[in-house]
Amino acid sequence: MELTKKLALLEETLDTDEGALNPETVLDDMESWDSLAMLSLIAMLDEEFGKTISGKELKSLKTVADILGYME
Amino acid sequence: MYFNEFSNVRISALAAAVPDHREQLINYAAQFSTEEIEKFCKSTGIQERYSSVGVGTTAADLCVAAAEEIFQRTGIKRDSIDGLILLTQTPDYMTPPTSCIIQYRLGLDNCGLVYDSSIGCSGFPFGIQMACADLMAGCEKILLLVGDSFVECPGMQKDDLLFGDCGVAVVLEKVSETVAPIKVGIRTIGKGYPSLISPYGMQRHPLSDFYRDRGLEDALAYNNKGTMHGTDVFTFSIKDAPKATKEFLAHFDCQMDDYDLISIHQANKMIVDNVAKRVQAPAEKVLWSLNRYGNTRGSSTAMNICDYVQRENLHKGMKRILNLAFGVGLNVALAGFELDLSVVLPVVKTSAVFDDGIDSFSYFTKEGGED
Repeated sequence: MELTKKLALLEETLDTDEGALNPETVLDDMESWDSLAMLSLIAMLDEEFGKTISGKELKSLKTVADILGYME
Repeated sequence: MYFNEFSNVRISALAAAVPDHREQLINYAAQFSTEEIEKFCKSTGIQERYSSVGVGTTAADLCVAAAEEIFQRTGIKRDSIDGLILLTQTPDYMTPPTSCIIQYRLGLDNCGLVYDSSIGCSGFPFGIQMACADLMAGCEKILLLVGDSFVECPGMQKDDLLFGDCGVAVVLEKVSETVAPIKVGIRTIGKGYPSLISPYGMQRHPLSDFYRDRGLEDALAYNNKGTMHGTDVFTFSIKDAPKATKEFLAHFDCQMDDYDLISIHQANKMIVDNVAKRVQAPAEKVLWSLNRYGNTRGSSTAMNICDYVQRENLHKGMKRILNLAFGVGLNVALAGFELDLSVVLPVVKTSAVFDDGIDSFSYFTKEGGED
């Protein structure tokens, strides 16, 4: 999947505006990065990429690039 | 995964009771801020619930009220019940088993097989398994009770608002005629125990240790308090519950189309939505009660059915229902059965509290009370 497609999918998952995310975006700076967004991310990674992310891994995510690492 | 199929067993009554204290979650705005509560309601799907705080109804009281409704409104006789099972995570006492007192309260003198189980959120389908097994082992009619209730909530956190108090009563009986078999499937994932647990206050981590390390205020707040790792519980729910469901359908060589209604444990809206989607349950078949009753823990899949029958004003007809519940353990339990909706009674509201004659000074007095 191309980077632009991944970012679009992530924007939809995290309920942010179109084009709002880039790999450098710091998750804690995003208003919509809350527990609900984390659950949406878990569901999306499992559904689209067959990846299971633990609570510990989730807490260690700092930037959008860290999430993109799982979207493969 | 465990599977079993029980023939010649029928569900002949189903009733639910809640404490007579309905509350809107938005009433907690002063405690947690309006914005936070609104967000909580939106993400969980819970708007209101019934709570025993201030009413004092324990799980036993709610289950007794539901059972009384069955004895008073159906032809089922008390002396025909020869087995009583109570599934609760909130018993009245550490000992004796709460079911023994319920046997006495309901006047079930003919009932010898009486026991408790602490099976949690998968309580209703798991209890169906227990009742069916006891019927196969020689019982004629089982009263299955499933309920949880918290009469106080010290150190309240927002997550505590997820839960609504409820007790259900179900009568299962052996029949000679041919009926659709009750199908059960259960998977346990004990490795996941840390993600949903009430760690302090019993033998592994006694309250005295906790009091020594963290003081009286925390000891009171966290005595037998449940905690959850939300993200891990979410992952378990959306992955393991659908996986177990697929295995259940494959084992019994059936499909979603074979069921008219799908009753999924009312964990929260996001989990139910995800699980429903993953098991390919059509939206019109999925039952919901959490917006009005909250997450009623072990009784939620039964509460879904009682609420559906009452809300839709359907008091007759057969429905094939697949119950899917999951949670603390961790475990997933499924029960598929046919239910005659005419045996489902309206939801009861109660404030009746059992007086056991005990107060803070009844036992362990300095003068040496009786034991």
